[in-house]
Amino acid sequence: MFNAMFKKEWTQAWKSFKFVALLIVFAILGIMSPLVALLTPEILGSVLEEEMRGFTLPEPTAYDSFAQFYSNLNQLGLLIFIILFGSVLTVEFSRGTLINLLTKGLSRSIVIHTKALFLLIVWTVAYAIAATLTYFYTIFYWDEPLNQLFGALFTSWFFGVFLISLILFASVLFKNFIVVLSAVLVILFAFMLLAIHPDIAEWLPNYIISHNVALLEGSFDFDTLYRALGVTLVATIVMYVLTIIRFKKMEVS
Amino acid sequence: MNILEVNNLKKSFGDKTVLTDVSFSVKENEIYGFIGGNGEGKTTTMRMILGLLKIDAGDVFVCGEPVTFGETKTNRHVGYLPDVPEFYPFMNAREYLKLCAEITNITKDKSAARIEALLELVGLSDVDTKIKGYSRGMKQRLGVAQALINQPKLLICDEPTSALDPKGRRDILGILKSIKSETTVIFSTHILSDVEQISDRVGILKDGHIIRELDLKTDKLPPSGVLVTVQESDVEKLNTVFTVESREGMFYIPDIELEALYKQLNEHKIYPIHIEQARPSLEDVYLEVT
Repeated sequence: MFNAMFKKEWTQAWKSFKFVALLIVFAILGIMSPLVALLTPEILGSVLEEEMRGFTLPEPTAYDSFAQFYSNLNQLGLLIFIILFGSVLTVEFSRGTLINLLTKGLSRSIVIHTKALFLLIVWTVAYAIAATLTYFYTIFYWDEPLNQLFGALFTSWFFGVFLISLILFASVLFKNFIVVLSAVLVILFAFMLLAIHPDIAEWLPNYIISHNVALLEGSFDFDTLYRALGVTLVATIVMYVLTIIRFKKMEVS
Repeated sequence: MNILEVNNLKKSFGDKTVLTDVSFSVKENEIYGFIGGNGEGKTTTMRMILGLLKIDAGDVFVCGEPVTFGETKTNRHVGYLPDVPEFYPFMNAREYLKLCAEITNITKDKSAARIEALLELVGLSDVDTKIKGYSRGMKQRLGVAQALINQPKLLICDEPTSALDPKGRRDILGILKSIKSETTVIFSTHILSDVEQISDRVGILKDGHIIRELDLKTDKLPPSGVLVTVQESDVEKLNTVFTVESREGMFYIPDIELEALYKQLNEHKIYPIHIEQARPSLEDVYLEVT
């Protein structure tokens, strides 16, 4: 059952060109990040020639490249991922395509497991492509040391995993993609508001993607993230379990 | 043996009570017509049998096993054709049936032959196009094929003919009739002529419960009047003596026993050419009880 559903997900993603589209977008983001960092001083210099007279812009660094990468990935990248793949479950509800399969004995937990693993792989592959391209272009152009590189890359990937769990949970709660998307955006906005208070901020999932560049610079210690990482991990697992429980008790019509 | 037993089923959606007390059973290799108007709860009942909707009260047993909401154990005995079957549009019929076969754990060597046999049965064996280009009738045929993939003991069809043209209706009814020897069929509809054509028994759902069950094979519907043909010269007299209406090229005299009819015809010197007992159609019964 699992293999059949998993294969179906991939065939669907492949034939709809969504997967290819996501990879292309993430590859562009991966290439653009160091490129934008590299060219920004030159662009600014030529556009604001008069205003910049007498000023010298600092030379771009590897950290500027990764700052651009995280700025792109943590906002635009995640948004594109959610828009392209966030409806994997709700579209089955709205079209009623699961009914035939559930009435054949397809386990409801397998539906969630296949969707989750599919999203996890799509996110991981897309993120890995973007991160790899940024990394290699960055080390090609700059020599600065990239401290805690694995930790800095892991946090953004892990935040994506948290969002996958949140999307699946919201999908079984609201069944409608627009409502799911709105709910996810409201929750992320609420995190941003709560993060204004420093004591609360370090317990929030978005805290783990707030110090990516500082991690690379070595000015922020990865261990400092343990509270937020712990909360994110627990929230991801709890939401995933609740998704399965809720889906098992959900009326399908 | 009863393949399906539904006992005292109740269901509400918020404040709206749909089913108050639905009970019926379906025997092995029977075709059971489930009749009711729109919104009477036919689909709700079927989806409760399938474990897709929560049962507020009552029990459902499929092949003697209790149906539990959310659990799909009893569905291994069941095939289901929804009123509007939905498929993955990027697949063709073979690919979709292959997915269904894999989900029902049919081995690869058996599934290929089963898929071809089903496509042959529903007349889609020569169609290789994607499902997104299918007509409603083709989707209904594929719906029947997917519902039969696991050789179910019970096939549940929700209004399988309601949106089809006459040929499509005839084909689907023909398929349902042809599988009767292997599969018990329960199908809901509001097209009563379809039910009459193929059903062994019918249950009429109204106001949340089964208000009448009829065995179309053994329970002859009770006589409701007489159909008479008379000579041209007697037509006026017949109209004067009886309240008549034209039906099937004859004169229909309602609510009269044969003996009383003979007596009155004799008294008024009316000479019939043909007399037959009129039996109500399923439609008459339905309209009478609802």
